[in-house]
Amino acid sequence: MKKFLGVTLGILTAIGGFVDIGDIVANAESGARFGLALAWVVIVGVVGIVIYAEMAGRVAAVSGRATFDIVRERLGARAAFANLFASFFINFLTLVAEIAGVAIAVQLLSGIDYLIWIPVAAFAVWMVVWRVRFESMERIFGLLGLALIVFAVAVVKLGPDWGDLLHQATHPSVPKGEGHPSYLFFAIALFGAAMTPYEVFFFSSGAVEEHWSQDDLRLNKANVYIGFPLGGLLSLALMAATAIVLQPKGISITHLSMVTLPVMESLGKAGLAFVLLGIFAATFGAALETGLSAGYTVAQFFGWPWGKFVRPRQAPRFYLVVLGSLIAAALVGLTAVDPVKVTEYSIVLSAAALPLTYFPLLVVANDRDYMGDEVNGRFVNVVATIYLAILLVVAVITIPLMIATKAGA
Amino acid sequence: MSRPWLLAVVFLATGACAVPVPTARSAADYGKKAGHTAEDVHSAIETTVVALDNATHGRTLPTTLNVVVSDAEDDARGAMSTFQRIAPRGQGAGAIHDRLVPLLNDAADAITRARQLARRGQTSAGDVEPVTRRLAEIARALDDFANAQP
Repeated sequence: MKKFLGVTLGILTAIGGFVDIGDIVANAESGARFGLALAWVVIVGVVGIVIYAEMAGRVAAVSGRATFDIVRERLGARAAFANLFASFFINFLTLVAEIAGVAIAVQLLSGIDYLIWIPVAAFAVWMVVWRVRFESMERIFGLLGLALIVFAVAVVKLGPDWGDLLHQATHPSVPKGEGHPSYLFFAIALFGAAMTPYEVFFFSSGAVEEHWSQDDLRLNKANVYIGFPLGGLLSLALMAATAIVLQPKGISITHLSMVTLPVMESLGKAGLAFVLLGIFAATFGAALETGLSAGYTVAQFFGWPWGKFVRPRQAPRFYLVVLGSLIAAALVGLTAVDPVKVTEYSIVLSAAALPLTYFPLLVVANDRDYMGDEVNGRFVNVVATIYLAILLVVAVITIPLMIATKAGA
Repeated sequence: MSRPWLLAVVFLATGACAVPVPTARSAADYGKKAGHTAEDVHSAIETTVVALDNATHGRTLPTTLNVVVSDAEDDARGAMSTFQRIAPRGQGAGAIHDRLVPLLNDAADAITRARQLARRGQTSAGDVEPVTRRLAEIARALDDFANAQP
């Protein structure tokens, strides 16, 4: 049991990274429009994030310092500031969407408009950041987020034609009525969602919060190899559920509420209860991750004391950044901006900014001054370099593609 | 603040507040946009039908049903309002407009009726059946319309 609980950091990070509000909607929409023709992107994304998250965790365990902290020191203030600027903005958009996601999950249960729940959700996130220990936080929300496994159960209960699903996934083609640019746009959105930068910031900072050392490299691997593939599996289950139930009816996902339909159809009220719990926990967990990541990146850039392992009185500026971000995110959410649109833009913009996060990490993970004998092996470097090349291509084409396809419309 | 800067700020602020008016360059373009609108509203109708069916079979919570149907209604009315802001241009665009707009109105009204039933908790098969039948008729008509467009 203790070993299982040891991987909750990876599970929480992956649930935030793979099934937060943006991913839930992006995966569900991909399934409803393209069936499983984009399943390969999830697998490519899982491999990429596994390679880089393992690197981030290893750097944190060996050096005792989080990714952003070392990037600032190794690459200098200017390069780190570009990274900080892009990451903080994207992270903030994600935080807006996650807080709205928590509010919508409560609305689906209570029937009371989500706008009323936004300040309550932001306050609750702040209270958890302020009062709850890091370890308890990751265990509670990481494990509750696993309720989203109900999508996999729903898929099995729906009794689909497995051969057809496998064929869709292994012979991807653009369905009639959809264009190749939209297909490519959704591919990039799913890839960007899988490799969101805040995942590595949160994961490496979490490793420092938990005082990982060189002795925890195996724990790092367990977190990465279990947590992220599990997140990818949840993404695929969500995609399959909407592909089976919604695609034949021509239903397009435009709201978080619509994601519940396949589970209702398959498992009824009990399944719905799990979905609502899972969406609440996943978005709440992602709000915690993004809220804390806002504080982590800024504090690590300026060299301030940071983290939940120090008392708030010893790290006032870190806590102030987290609080300020939460208040600002709640205020933006209260303007009734469409949270689904916010999150779609945030994952696409994050795709454009990915090399800024992953290139410095690759440099640091190869630096013997920081890593000693724990530098990257040849295999990891080859795969990571291939991914870096993909990230560069994605970064270049993302924005023009978003404009050309009107964000996949 | 110097005058050029002030003008730039005013220009950007005005631009940020402006809502872009959708346009169609030709009748074919108008037809394409009409087809997309029909598909969007068709999706909202099907969402409503699936949600009502789940309610009839006791597979959903009243609060969740309400939210799903309200969201579908917002989508249908949003798509209708966007389409109605596009000025028909070119030969044949007027006919497309005259054929689609009544369907969109019927769809929005039927979804509103479904939302009212959901709100009152009237989700027995007898209560829901006339509405779902009407929704199915409109969905078929929208489907035919969308398939006829370029």
